Amino acid sequence: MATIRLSIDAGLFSAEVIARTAHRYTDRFFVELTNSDGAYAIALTSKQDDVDLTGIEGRFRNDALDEHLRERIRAETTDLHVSLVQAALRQAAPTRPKS
Amino acid sequence: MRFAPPPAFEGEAGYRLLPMRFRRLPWDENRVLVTSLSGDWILMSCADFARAVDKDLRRDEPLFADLQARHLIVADSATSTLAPLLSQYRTRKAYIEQGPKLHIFVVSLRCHHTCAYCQVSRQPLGQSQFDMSGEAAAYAVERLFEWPARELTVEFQGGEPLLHFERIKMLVKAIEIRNRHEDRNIRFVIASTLHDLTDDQLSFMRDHHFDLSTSLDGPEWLHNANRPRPEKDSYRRTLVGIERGRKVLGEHAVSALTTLTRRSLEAPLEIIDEYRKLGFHSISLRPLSPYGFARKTETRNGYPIGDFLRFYAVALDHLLSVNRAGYFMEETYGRMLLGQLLTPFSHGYVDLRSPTGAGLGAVVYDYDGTVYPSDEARMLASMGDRSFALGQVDQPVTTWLESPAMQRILAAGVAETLPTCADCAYVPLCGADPIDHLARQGDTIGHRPTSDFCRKQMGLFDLLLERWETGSGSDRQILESWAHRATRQEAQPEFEAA
Repeated sequence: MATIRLSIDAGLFSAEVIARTAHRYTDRFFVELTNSDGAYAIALTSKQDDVDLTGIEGRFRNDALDEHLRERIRAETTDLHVSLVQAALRQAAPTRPKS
Repeated sequence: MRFAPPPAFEGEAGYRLLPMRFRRLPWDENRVLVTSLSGDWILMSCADFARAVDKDLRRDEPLFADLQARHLIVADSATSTLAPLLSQYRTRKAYIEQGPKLHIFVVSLRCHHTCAYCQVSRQPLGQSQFDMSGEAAAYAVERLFEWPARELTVEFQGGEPLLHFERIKMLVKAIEIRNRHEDRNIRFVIASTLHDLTDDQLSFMRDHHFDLSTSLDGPEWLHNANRPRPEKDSYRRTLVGIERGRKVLGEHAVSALTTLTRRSLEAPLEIIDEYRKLGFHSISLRPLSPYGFARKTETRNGYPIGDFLRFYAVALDHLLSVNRAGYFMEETYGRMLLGQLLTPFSHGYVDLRSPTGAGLGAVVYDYDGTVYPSDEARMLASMGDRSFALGQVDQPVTTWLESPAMQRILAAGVAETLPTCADCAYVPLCGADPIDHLARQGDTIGHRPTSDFCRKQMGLFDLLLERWETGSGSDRQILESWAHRATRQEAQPEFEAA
């Protein structure tokens, strides 16, 4: 099975961003993540022989940027998200039938 | 009186992000779909989206107003209200307010077919021990009225429910007597092959305003191959049943669903043309589910979900061409997804809910008095896994809701909290299906990167959105007409076919 190895600067991304990105690749790859010397080392080993590896490294790096954006949005909106859902559903109590 | 100058009305500078999710468009990786908490959405360039998140938008540019109108940003939290967003969210989730509307009564497991993909584990004709008893039926009627929903759909299923029609008559009469003082709006549906339908049965159905749901898998060669009878005349009998049903109950009282086997995937155009030939304006293209006999014959009849999506894309293009030619015809699952995408309203489809529709949108009263939260849970039980049984029909509803099975379902039943779903741009429009994930992946939460449920949902949402965006004006109108029909049918749960 072929393995793709890539390194990403740990100063640019959180471990959660890298883990969330890698999780999306677990359909076709076995994933190994390590963090040392200020960089994440990512190893993607294909589960089957016929997996097309073209462009996977570049796609992973782009996906990490998307996850980073999601992390920023979550950081700004999670508390508000919870408050809004609670406020919206507070009035959603079941109505009882006429006795 | 003099007004203050314009800057006095601008409020605080800058803006705040509201909860949102995004997804790169598979057909244009330089743009994203961005959805709000309530499922309102916009397509925009990645560069503009990055500017929006970076707070670089100017108040006087059109995109600012667009994002604000869709509740993706808020300009000044001191002077802006989020009440419309809350109202939208409640509207989208309105299905949780009244409890289950779809109540499935399994009156018999007996059937005269030997379909290789049967999901129900049918029983031979002579095995009357697989019929629902009068006692279980009486309890089921009691339970039905313990639920608060004002609109109830009572669906009779099997096996072949016509083989135990006396029980159906007893149930209908008991429900109608009880409803004289309950005053609910009740709709009766029977999911049947419609073979051997008698005049007396049809008269009873006419008197009690039944709808009929049957299975038609396509042209004769395909239907007979999928649904064998010893006489090899399943297609002919189904057509006779459809015609008789239409004649007595009306054209719109009879609907049909298609179950797709591997051989069906080779014939998308023929299947659709068959439905058109028979005068149907609606078709349901359903992939096989991993239950009952369908699992036993999976290597022969099954297929990867990618093959289904390729089939669906061809079928959708053909349906659009049929509509462009002046014959209205919709695909029901596509209609449901388009209704989610293009309207703000709730819907009655139990598989597309979050919190899940299992036990919250539907209840199944099995022939032996066992109660399940969904048809899929009943099918799993017939395969030996009874862990989703809510209880027995002689127990009160509150006991079912407190059952370990219901707790397990709820723990994995909110899509917005599930791994990967939580970040998915489609999640405000999608649903959670813990029972399907248990059946396919052995775990109620499941693993989204390998989930067939997720691939199907994402694949269909992407396909429909792409066709809507890139198609001609007439294609867009056709897809929008499907979406608005979904809205009109909101109150009616989708039902299963025989």
